[in-house]
Amino acid sequence: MTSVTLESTGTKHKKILVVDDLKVMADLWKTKFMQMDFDVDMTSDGEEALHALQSKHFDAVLLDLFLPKKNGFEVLEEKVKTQNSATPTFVITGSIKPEDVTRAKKLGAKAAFMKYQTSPKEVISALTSTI
Amino acid sequence: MRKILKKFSGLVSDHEHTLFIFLGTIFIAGVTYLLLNYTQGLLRQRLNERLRAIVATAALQFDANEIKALHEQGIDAVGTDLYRKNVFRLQSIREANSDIRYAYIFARTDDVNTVVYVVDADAISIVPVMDFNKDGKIDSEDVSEPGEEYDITDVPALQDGAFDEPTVDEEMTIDTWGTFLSAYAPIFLPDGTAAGVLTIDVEVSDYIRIVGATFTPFILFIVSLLLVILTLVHITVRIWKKRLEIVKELDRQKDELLGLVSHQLAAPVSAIRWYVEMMLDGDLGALTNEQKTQLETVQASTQNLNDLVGMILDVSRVQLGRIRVEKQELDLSQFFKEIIDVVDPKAIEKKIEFVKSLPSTFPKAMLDKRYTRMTIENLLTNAIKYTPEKGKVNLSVTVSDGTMHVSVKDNGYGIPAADQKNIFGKMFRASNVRNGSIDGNGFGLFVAKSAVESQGGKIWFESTEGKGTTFYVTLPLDSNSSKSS
Repeated sequence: MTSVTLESTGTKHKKILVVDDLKVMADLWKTKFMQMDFDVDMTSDGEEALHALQSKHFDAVLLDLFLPKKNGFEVLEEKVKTQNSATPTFVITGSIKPEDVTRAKKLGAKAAFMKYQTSPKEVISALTSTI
Repeated sequence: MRKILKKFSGLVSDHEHTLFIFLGTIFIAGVTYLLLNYTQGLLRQRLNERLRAIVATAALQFDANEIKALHEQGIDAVGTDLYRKNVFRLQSIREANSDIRYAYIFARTDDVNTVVYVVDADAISIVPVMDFNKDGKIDSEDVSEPGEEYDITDVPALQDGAFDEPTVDEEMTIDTWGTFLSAYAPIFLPDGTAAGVLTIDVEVSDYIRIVGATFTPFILFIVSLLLVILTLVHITVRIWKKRLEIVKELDRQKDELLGLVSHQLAAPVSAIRWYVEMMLDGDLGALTNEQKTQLETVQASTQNLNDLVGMILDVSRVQLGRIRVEKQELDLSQFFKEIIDVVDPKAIEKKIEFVKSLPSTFPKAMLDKRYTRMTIENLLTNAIKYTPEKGKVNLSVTVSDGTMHVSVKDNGYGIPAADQKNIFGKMFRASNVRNGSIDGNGFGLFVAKSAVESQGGKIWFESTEGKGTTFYVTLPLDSNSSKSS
C-alpha cells in the first residue's frame, strides 16, 4: 500500500482509498485527488484493500470490481465488518455489464459507474457532493 | 443463432410435445381402425359368400312347382303329404349344419313390403319343441303358419334381390336365441320367376368370436406402437434438450468472453479518454493551440472506440435475443435534460438549429434508463451527423394515455429507398454516407430497435433521400408492458 499524505497545513485532509489494479487508472486518481488536497491511499488488490479498511478510517472508497485475490463484490461484502462500514463506496468498473452495476449497488455501493460511460469529472462531482 | 434457439425451445416445449403425442395417437388409432375395419370386412365378405353358397345349394332341393302349389293352398296345405315332404326337407337342411337354426320358405305378395310364409322347418313338430319360449303352451308367435304375412319393411335384402339371386342380410339379428344372419335363395319356376325364397337363419357366434379375436392383436399393436412412439419422442426430446443446453452454455461462454474482452478494452480506453480530457481541461498544464487541436482529434477517435466497446455486449445480446431490460422509475425531465446537454454542443459545432419541444411536466415513468437514453441519444446524434451544416433537427416529445411519443426529425441526407429495409440491421450504414467522412459503427439502430421493443415500444421512420428523415419512438411508461424476450 502506498500512502500519499500531503504535508499538514493545519486543515484536516479528506482520506480516500483508491482500489484499482490498473496502474494508469490509479495514477490518474492520485493526480486528481492530490490536486484536490486529499490524502490518497492506493491498493491494487482486494485483500490489500480490506487490510487498509480494517486498519484506518477513510472518508470515501473508490473501488474497481475486477481485482486480484478478492474482487470488488467481495470487498463490498466484507467492508461492513470493518471500521469503514459506513464509509461511502464509489464503484468504478471496467465492466460493461449493467447487471454488475446493479449488483454493486445492491451490495451497498453509494454509486456505481462504468468507466466507459463516465468521466473523472462525474465521479468527483458525485464524491464531493457526498463527503 | 437466435432462430436456432427459438427452434430448439419450440420443439421441447411441453405444450407442443403433448400436442405431437396427441396427434400421433389419433393418427395411429385412425390407421388401426381402418385396418381393423378392412380385416373385419374381409371376414364378413367370406362369411356372406359361404352363406350364399349354402343357401343356394339348399334351394336346389326344392321343386318350385310344389312351393307354388303350397303357396296357393295357404293354411289348407297343413297336413298334406306335399307339406310334410317339404317340411322334412327343411328339417334335413337344418340338421345338416349345426349353425343353421331356422329354415323356412317365403313367397311374394302383391305388396312389396309383405311376404307370406309357405312352409317352415318347425311347422310340424311335437308340442314341446314348438314351445319356443318354454312357457308350456304353443303361442301364436312360436309358429309361423302357412299364409301368415310377414312385414319385410326392415329387411332390405328380401325387398331388393332375394327373389332374383342368393342374398345375405346386411345386418345381424340379435334375439333371445342368439345372433343370427339370414341368407336367402330364390326357388325358380321354369319360366325364371321365383315361386319362393328359401331362408336360413344361421347362428354366427363363431364369426363374432373370430372378429373379436382379430381385435385383440390390433389393440396390442396400437399399444406397442404408442409405446415405441413415446419412447422415441422421449429420446428425441432428451437429445434436443441436451443440445439446447450445449447451445445455451456456448451462449453463456460467448457472453462471458465478450464481457471479458470488453472489460479488458474498456479500462484502458477509458484511461486514455480520461487523460485526454484532463489534458484538454488544463489539469496537466497549459497546452498550445496546436497541441489542443491534435488532442481533440485523439479525443473524438477515443470516444468512438469507447462507444464501440460499450456496445459489443449489447450487440451480442441482441443477436442472442437476450437483451435484459431493467426498468426503473425515471425523472423524464432530468433524463431529457441530460441528453440535450450532450447533444447541444454537437449541434452548435455543426451550426445546426436544434429545436426541442417537450412537455412542461412528465408523468411517472418506468423505463430502462441506459437503453432508453442510448436509443434517443443515438437518434439525435445520428440526426446531427447526417444533416449538413446549418440544417435543422427537431426533437418532439409528447405523452398521451401512458405512452411517450418521441420524434426526431432532420432535414439532412435522408436514407435511400433501397437501404430503408436494412436500416435496423447490424452494421448498417446508408449507402449515401458510407464513404463519407461521418463516423459511426452501424450498431446504434440495431440495438435501439431491440431496446425499444424489449420495453414494449415501437420504433419506425419516414425518410426521403435529399430531404431528411424522421424517426418515431413510442414507449409505454407503465411497468407492466415489458415484453419478455
